[in-house]
Amino acid sequence: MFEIKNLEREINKLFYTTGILIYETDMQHGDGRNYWPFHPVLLDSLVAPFVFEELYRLFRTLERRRYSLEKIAGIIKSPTKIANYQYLWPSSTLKLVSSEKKKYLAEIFVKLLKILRNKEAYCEKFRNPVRNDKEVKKYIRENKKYLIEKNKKPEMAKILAKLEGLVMSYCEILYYYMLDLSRLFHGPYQYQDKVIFAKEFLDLKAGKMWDLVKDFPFDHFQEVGIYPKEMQIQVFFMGHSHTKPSFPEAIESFVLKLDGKPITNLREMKQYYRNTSKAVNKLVKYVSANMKNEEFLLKRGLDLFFYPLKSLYEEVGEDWRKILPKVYEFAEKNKSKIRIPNPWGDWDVYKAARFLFKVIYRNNYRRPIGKKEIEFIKEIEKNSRKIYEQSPFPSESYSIISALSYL
Amino acid sequence: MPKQKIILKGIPASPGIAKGKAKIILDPSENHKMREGDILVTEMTNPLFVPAIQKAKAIITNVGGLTSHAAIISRELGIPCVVATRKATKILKDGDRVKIDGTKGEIFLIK
Repeated sequence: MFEIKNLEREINKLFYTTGILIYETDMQHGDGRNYWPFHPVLLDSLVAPFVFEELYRLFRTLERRRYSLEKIAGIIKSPTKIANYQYLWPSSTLKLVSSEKKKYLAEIFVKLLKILRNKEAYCEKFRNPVRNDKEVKKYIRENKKYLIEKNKKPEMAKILAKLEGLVMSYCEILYYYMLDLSRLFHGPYQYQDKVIFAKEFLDLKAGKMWDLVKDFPFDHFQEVGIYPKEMQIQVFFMGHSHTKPSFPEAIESFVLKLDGKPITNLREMKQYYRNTSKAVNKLVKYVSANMKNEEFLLKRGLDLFFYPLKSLYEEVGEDWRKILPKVYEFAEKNKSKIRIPNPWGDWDVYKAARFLFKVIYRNNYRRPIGKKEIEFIKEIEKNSRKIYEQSPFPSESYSIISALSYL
Repeated sequence: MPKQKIILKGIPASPGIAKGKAKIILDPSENHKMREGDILVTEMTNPLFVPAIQKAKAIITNVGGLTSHAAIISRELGIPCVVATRKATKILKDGDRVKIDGTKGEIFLIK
């Protein structure tokens, strides 16, 4: 039985990390004009109660069937996927879900993240250790024959970067920027005097979500890259990564597997690139043509929160689409009521601070914002700065205070 | 040696240096204007810009930060990118020859 000491403290860590990450994402996007095609708050608010109710029901069903948490984690596979569902916590519509269920879910999220990330649930060491050292060593040993060295085959390394960029763009269209519902970057791992970093994309042939993409050239993309020991890689809680220098610049060798098949020659790789490019461009054309069709965009946006749970639905013998009619109905009734927060635009300091407190305190902060709260924000800012001061990357706008004084 | 004049500064979002012709794309419907090796200049990219990005040697945007779309995708592709220049789409014109320094966040006009 998987147990965690001081679960309450762990849950606070989960919310604290989530709050910081939401703040960082918002800061980087400025005032929200750059979200495509909708501001995430709109979609989050419309789906949050359904996603949480469904997750609660699915986890409880599996528990009743005596599934261990390790087994449930094995069905979900990606900790990054779970991390990305944490964006839903600040949604005001979550008041429709009982506190008891929310507490249960917070506990299970923490436990699953601990299992799937080998105890580093919040990427506190700026890594996403999905595999342990033994597994990494075994993988390299067994796949040495498929290793492609950049020095010997520079063209293949170049196409690898382009192919991965394409797959990433594809996932951004499928998941409206929430590509980490498919993308799983993990590592960095130390291996002898090298750094190993893996990039995976799961469930790419999402034909059941969009018929249009059922013929995507592959369902699973897996690249395991070997980098020099000086390579600096940081992975954050939600799956974002920072590197110095860039991946294509630093990569020394790699194994590329598409649907488990090692790709070892240039001709085959080029063919995959062409086919992927064709599939992505077809999707771009289709979505571009429907950019004014709000009903279409909204329904696809609602679907994308449930599709990544399909392995859980399948495990309990259900179809992931069963819930969708209810979600559409709720969205239709409530979409005009959702208020998009713009804390960095036209809000005053206290209002912005209040928003941040709501994010951190799961929407339950009722006190007026005063000296104590501003002090607390300064403390978060200090911690946030500390994180980025330790980071080898520039820290241009990671400051709550600068955000507030900018108003 | 052609003269170089620094005309814009922004946040260095993906390192490296590239030279090429600027192509202003304000909307994905203009993706077809992009030629292989052009430098994509835009307000901010979104996933529908992918056909233009595939051909781009570098990216310059008016807005954004280190985790904005253009920054992330250019780092994955290994092409230089400067974001948050505020006015690149106003200052640069289609066909201008530019040099972009993605390490320093500087853009030069080559005469």
